[in-house]
Amino acid sequence: MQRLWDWFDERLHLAPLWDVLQENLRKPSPRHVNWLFTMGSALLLLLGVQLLTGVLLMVYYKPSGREAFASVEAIMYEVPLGGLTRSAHNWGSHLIVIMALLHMFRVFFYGGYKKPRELTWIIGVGLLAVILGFGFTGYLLPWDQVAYWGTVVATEAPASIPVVGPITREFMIGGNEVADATLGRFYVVHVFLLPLALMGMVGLHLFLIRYQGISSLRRTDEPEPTPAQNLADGGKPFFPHHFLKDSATIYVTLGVLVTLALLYPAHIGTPADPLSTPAGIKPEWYFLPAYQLLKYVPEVVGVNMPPLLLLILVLMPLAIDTSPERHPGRRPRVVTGWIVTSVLILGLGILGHLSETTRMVLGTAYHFDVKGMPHVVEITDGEGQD
Amino acid sequence: MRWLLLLGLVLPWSAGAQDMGDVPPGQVPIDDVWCTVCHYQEGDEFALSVHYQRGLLLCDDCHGGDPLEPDPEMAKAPDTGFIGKPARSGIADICARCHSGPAEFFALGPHADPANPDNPSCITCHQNHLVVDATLALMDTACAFCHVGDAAVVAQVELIQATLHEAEQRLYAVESRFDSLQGIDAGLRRSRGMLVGAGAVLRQIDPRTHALDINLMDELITAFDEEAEAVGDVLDESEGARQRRRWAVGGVWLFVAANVTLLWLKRRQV
Repeated sequence: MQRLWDWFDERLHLAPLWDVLQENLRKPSPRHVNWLFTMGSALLLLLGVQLLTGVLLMVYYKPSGREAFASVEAIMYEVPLGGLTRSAHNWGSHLIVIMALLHMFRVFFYGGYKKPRELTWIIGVGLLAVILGFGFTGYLLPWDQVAYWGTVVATEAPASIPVVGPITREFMIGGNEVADATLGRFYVVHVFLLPLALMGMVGLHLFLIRYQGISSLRRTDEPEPTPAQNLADGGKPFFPHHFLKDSATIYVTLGVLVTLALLYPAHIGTPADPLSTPAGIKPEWYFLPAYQLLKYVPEVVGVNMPPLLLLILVLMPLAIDTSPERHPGRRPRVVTGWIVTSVLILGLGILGHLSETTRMVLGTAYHFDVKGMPHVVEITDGEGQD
Repeated sequence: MRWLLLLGLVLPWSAGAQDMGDVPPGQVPIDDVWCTVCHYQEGDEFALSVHYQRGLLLCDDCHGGDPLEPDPEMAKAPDTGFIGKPARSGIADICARCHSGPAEFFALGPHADPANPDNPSCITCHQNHLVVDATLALMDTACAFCHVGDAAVVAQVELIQATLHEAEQRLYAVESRFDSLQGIDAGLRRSRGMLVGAGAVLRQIDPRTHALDINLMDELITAFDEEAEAVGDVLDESEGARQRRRWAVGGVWLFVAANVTLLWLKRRQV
């Protein structure tokens, strides 16, 4: 091993680079860095799993309307470990969104996005958009009824944007209706463009985190603590202390992912049929708030809300939460606004989940109408939760 | 009054049938069938039959004539193929136009000779106008009508009923198990064809009951059992796979616990 290192070092003079890396990794983190700071690493692991399982799925997946469904079925039931690979990819996509949101909440509450780390946050928001883009484009690929009609509904919304709406929709789906051309476009975006963007942005995000170090809890108008001050304050070197915590979280996350993939395998419905609209089509859970919002407000408003929300997130450290305070208790307005908005979004998601279903609540049957409002109904044998 | 009496008699058989006022899909309203003006009793019965309710037949399918022609003379004109009441010897042939399987096996059974006035014809057991879906229970009343106290016939009927009933129970059991497992193993959907196939084999036995010979049914019962067993094997494999996945999950968490423990010990050392 030493001879191999020497061989490279002789040619590339790696020793100084190695020293810089060592120094950076051993830089002490602030004292308040705890287990909540390991979610970013878990997210990185999940992205890696998606990349790996995605590449494996690509080997067998056929991105055409005629073959996509059958190829996914073959992956699930004929390819060795294909079912597990697809299930891991499917569950990974859900866990990534959960972990990304938790990570974002952690950064917000610790005020980690404030000066001088605004760029890291903005790239993070971009990564969230990329992750949601993965979910949106990947949803169509199995080409079953739910995927097809879910995409039909989701791609109809942008058409309501004045002037550019119809052209935007046509560009998105490659024609007037969701068809082969749409699948081809979504596939290329899902397996090439988004991964490219993801890798570039993750690299930059990680570089900035290591380069600037983890944020302290000091006010932004106070000087950042030096590594020596962090050490004196009780902080521990990133490597090995925090690295070991990261590793433990990664193991547990991996355990959760494999457990879900093994016990609750991903399933596939019936093949896409453009002539038969199934009942109760809904998007993935993380798009439910946007889906439900469209039922209450004019379409043009509802469609623009998700991008507007991402823009607000970008503006958080630049124009909205500009006070020098990092501690959440000392910036009550922003924290209250964040919590209220989060509860509203969660509420919309729950209403979206309940809408157009009949459920038993405390012994009484309720039908939740299209807007999620409950109505007491008589329930007969054979009916139940749907 | 007679109409009400008749309705009272047939209602227990026709539970689930639509009101006479309802016109089944693909069927003409019974009031548009001119035969029922005179043959109103037959018309009332026929309106409740599966033949009418499923839009399958009208009077002319068995009797000839033109049921939608208001003029009785023209409705029964020679060129309409009117035959009136079918001869006893011709009944099996008329039913066989649609029910060829039962007719084929009826011809192999003990009641096959139409010349024997003691033999029943199709309508003796299934009725002529008020035909309802046949079940095994029909044998209890239909056979006992002639064979009162005949122990040998009763035993034969009971054997046929028990054999088919048990086969149906086995199908029901495998269907129930299939449905409950499909909730957790969506891949079983691909094997549903096997289950449908087993059910189809069982349904092939129905015509053979008309021969009243258990030996003619045995071959298909065996074939059904083989198909049901093959479905059972698929379900066993699904349950086995699920159990193996549970063990794998246990292994994964042992691996996670071992590694987290090692990391924790390492962290305490540094």
